[in-house]
Amino acid sequence: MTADMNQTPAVDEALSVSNLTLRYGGVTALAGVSLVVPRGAIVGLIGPNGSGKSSFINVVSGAYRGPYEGEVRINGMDVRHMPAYRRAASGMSRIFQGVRLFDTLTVEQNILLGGHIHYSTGYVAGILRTPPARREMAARREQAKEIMALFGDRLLPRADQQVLSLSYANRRRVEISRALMTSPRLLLLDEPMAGMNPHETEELTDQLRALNHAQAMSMLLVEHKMSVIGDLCANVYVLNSGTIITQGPVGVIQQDEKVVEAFLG
Amino acid sequence: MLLAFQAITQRALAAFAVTGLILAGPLGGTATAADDAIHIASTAPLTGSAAAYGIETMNGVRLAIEQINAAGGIGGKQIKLSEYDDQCDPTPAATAANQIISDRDIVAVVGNVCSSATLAQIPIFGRVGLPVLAATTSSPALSAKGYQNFARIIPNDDIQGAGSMNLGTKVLGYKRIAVLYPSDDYGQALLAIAKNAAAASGAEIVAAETYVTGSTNDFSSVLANIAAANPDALYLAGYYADMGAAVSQSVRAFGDKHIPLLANAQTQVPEYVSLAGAAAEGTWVTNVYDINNPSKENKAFVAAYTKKFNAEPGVQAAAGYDNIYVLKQAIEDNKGSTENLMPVIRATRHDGAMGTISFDKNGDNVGGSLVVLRLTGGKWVFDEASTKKLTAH
Amino acid sequence: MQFFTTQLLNGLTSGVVYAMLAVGYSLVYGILQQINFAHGYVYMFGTFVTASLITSGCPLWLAIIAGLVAGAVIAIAVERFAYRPVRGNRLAPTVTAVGVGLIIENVARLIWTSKIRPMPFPFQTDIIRLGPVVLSPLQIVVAVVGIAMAALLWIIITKTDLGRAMRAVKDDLATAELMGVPVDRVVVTVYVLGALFGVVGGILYGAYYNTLSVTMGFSGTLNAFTATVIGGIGSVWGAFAGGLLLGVLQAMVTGYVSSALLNTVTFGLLIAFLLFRPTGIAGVHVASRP
Repeated sequence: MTADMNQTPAVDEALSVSNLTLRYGGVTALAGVSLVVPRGAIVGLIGPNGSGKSSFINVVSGAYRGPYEGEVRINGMDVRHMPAYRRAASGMSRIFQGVRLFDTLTVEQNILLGGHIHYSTGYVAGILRTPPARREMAARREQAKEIMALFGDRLLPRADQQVLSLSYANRRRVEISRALMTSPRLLLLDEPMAGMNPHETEELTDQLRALNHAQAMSMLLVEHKMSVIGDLCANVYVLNSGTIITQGPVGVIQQDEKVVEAFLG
Repeated sequence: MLLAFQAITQRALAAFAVTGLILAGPLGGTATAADDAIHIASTAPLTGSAAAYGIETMNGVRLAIEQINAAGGIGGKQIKLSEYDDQCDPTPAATAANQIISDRDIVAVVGNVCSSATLAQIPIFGRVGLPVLAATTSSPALSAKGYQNFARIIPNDDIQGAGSMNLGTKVLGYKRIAVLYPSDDYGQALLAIAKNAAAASGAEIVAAETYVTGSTNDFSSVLANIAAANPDALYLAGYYADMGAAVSQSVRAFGDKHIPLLANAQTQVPEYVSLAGAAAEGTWVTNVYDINNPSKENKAFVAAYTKKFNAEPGVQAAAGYDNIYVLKQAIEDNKGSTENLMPVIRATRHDGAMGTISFDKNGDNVGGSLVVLRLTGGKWVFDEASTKKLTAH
Repeated sequence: MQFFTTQLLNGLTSGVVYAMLAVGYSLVYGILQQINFAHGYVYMFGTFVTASLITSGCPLWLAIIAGLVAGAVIAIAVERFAYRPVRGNRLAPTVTAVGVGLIIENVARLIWTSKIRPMPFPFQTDIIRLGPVVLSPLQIVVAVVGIAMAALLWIIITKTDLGRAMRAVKDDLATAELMGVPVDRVVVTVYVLGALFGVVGGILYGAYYNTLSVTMGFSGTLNAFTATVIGGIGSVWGAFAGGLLLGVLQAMVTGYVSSALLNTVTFGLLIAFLLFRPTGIAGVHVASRP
């Protein structure tokens, strides 16, 4: 059922947001934000706390269900009336600020859940455990194993552990693995490095870069650690009080007075 | 504002009173009767939810009066009937009673159907010493109060309830009886009756199991208890639906051992048979009337009733019919006088459509008119031999 | 010993029936923290469809399938029109559930009247003797169906993609949806599963007790609900454990104490668990989410 959604529309923009305005209550959280993540690129989004970064990610991923003005296109498709799970099916996934896992499931089960949307066998066939259903389940488990292998021996030996027993960094790796399991062509990363030590940060930076290179996976990276932004992003948008105040390469941005003022003010 | 409200209330009350008077029935009665007839009143629900019962009772009353008058009346006097609607409700019933006592020609009240309505009326009739000969009111409370002006045609609930037990112990000779009863007032009352009846006939209640009606349909555990007590018979002292379910489950508890079943009148319905299935075969019930009773009195009644109303009579019609004939016999026993009638009524013994009707000191039918039926081939069949044995006791 | 065995078997049989009906509460509560007050009416309707089809001469297997389908269809409609619009609200679903339950019951009254009817089912009057113990083939049917349904539920929850999605929705509904789980479809499937177990329970109830009434949606529910609470509302295994425990306990109280105390014991147990151990014997902390 999801096969037709996976057809790549002939666009070279993984994410294209134009004039996004979001108000709740009397507050304007986003005011005319436009942003593009070109196919295969890693784009940074930075800004002080409360500048609207999470609101932006929530509108794009569908976590925010209310009305907004402007247009959001993921892989060329207008997602205004698309429920969150269909966005996942259309090739978008995300991780959360503060890890959000399914606490009663094991590592492997958490990751396998990301494959739910791509199951071609229906519920009934799954319950009856028909040969195609068994084959598909085996294939998914193989895929999950390959994804876990991206993190070396961090997850593989822990596949059957409850996620609650994992370290924070490993929980983050499970969350990323789960997102990868949805086979995204656009990955929204909301502060992936928060809570990681320098070594873990460096390791994850390398892994994200490898993913980007190997699978041409486009990413939108919200991050406080400027070194990570510098390492990964060719282009950076700066959000302040719901408005993009500037954009450009990291080196240029860091010299911009408006940016300095926003972060210090 | 307050004044306006009072005015409206007064007008409403006045309108209500007028309506009440109109609904209450004939206003006549203060004038002394010029004719030489026997005037009686009948009060029954002719409208409202119980109207079907009241109308059928009244049909029985009318048929009997028509027959008696056509045959020359009572000692040459015609019977004249005034009909009142008590709606099976104490308030209109009291209004009707007040109407009736204002008519000094009326010598007796007959045909009462509803216990609640009759309870409200008896003290009113009692003020002028007017005898009440009720038809199908069955609450034991009516006779328990010791009213001097009351008697009734059908056996009260207690006597009906004891009928099935007496059938089991006195007629069929069972010594060890198990009782299955609902935990509500009805079931508790029947259990008490069963205990008294057992004690009176030297039998023993070996198991008394209860259930909450409406909250379970599972009788397997209580039936296992009953089976373990090894009774001669099971007395089904509950509602037909519960009893039907219990009996259908009983084969599991009793295996292929046959357990005789004794049941109340309310079990004598098709639903019991369809719910209980084959296991119900042979169930005994006692009832106050059966249309297939082959007595000559009943055959004559059924033929006349069916001809006149083009419908089969039920217990209501039979009670209304016997009601008038009991009254006729009492007046004849009283040498044609309608004075001081109640002691004579209570001493009357009459073979009617229902059976042999006689009364105890409280005016209750002593149970001589009960009939015995047995479920045979899925049909309730009148059992003449058992009926005779039961009513002979 | 024979008496004990008989009462134990009686209790276990009732217990399986309670468990089947209880699963519908536990599945839904487990996922949405909502008591599915319409459940009783849904399984009542499905059971009546089966019963009336058997009466009209339809083959047993077809009648059962039709009853299951009817239960599923009503569950879908109830979820869509009574629950989904107010999902997330704590009180409103209770009100809409009672309302929709009354509608279902009244429709059932119109179709089948209020008459209490027997359930035409094979083996109803047959018995099997195992030494001194008398057994009904229906008790074996109930046991086999109970074990099969428990196995089916275990497979669904632990071995299928659907089960994983159900558990994910239970853990964190919003995240599950963002990870591609069509939450509405999973929720509706949970209601359908609950209804299917309920109709199976209703058919067993009707077959074993040989009594059906349109009010069974309400009255038949007391024991099932008590079993759910005893087992730990939200835990499907608790529903099975609670059902069996309640069934056996009731049979033992009837057998060794008094049938007059049956409801006292049932209600007492319900209240005691609600007061002192609201998580039930399974001890699952249901409020794992804010």
